[in-house]
Amino acid sequence: MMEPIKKKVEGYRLYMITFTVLSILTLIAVWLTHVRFASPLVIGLIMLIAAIQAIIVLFYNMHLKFQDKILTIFVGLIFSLIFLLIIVTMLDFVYR
Amino acid sequence: MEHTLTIQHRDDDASRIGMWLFIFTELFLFAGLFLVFAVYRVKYYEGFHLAAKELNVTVGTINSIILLLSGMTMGIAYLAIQKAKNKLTLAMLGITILLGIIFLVNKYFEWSVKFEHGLYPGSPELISLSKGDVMFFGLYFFMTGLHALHLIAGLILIVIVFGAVIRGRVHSTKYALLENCSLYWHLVDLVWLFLFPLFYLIN
Repeated sequence: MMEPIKKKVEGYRLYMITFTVLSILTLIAVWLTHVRFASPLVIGLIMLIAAIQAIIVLFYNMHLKFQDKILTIFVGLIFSLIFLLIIVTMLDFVYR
Repeated sequence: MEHTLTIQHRDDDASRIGMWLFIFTELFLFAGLFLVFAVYRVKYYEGFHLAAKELNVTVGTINSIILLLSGMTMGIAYLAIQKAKNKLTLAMLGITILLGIIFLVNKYFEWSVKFEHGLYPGSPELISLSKGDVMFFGLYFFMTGLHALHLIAGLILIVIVFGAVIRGRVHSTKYALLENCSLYWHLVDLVWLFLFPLFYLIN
């Protein structure tokens, strides 16, 4: 017998809601490119939206929310490592 | 009379952890490419800024929605198999395959336009442009091409799962293959969530 998840995954509605939220966030990101804010602010907002979308996909579509906490910690560590890698390299590149 | 008992070993938890480990390696692969993009974007700011305007935001947005929709159908297929609704599972897997193909067709047309304009790596037109343009389109073709290859691999995997559901090898108490396939498909989705803003929106 398969024991896939510790908590029960919600019904089909969960996937419909995540799709709607992800689509709305995508459209907001596209709309932001037409807004005349300062460029770094727009770039920051667009990347923030992408990060929020990634978290939604990881937690709901990839079921991290319903899995063991240890897997969530592992995924968090991997993303932190990637974030650190990008930040450290960029700082080194810009201030060298 | 001699009797033999065959016990088939199965460890679905290990299978899932194995898939996640594979996903981690894929994330590092694309993270490295995102890093290369970020470094060259800082170095050739002007060139990247102008080259990004050549991309069609509408096509990119449509492709994003298509991929997100396919993520939804894949999720429903995963839930349906657990509820022993095989017909719904097959229908959702079929729609996911269709959406994946539509994404690739859109990408084909998008790339064709760039080829017609001579904006492909190594073309005389592109070489005559600035270094920033050359780097932008080099990375654009490499990264979106690699993503498309992953999507094709995902489609092949879904076709295999589709066949396994029909043959009864994947069912309500044995669905690790479908679960791992679903994880892989969402990874393809996840990578696109960052590719889209980097290439199409930030200019």
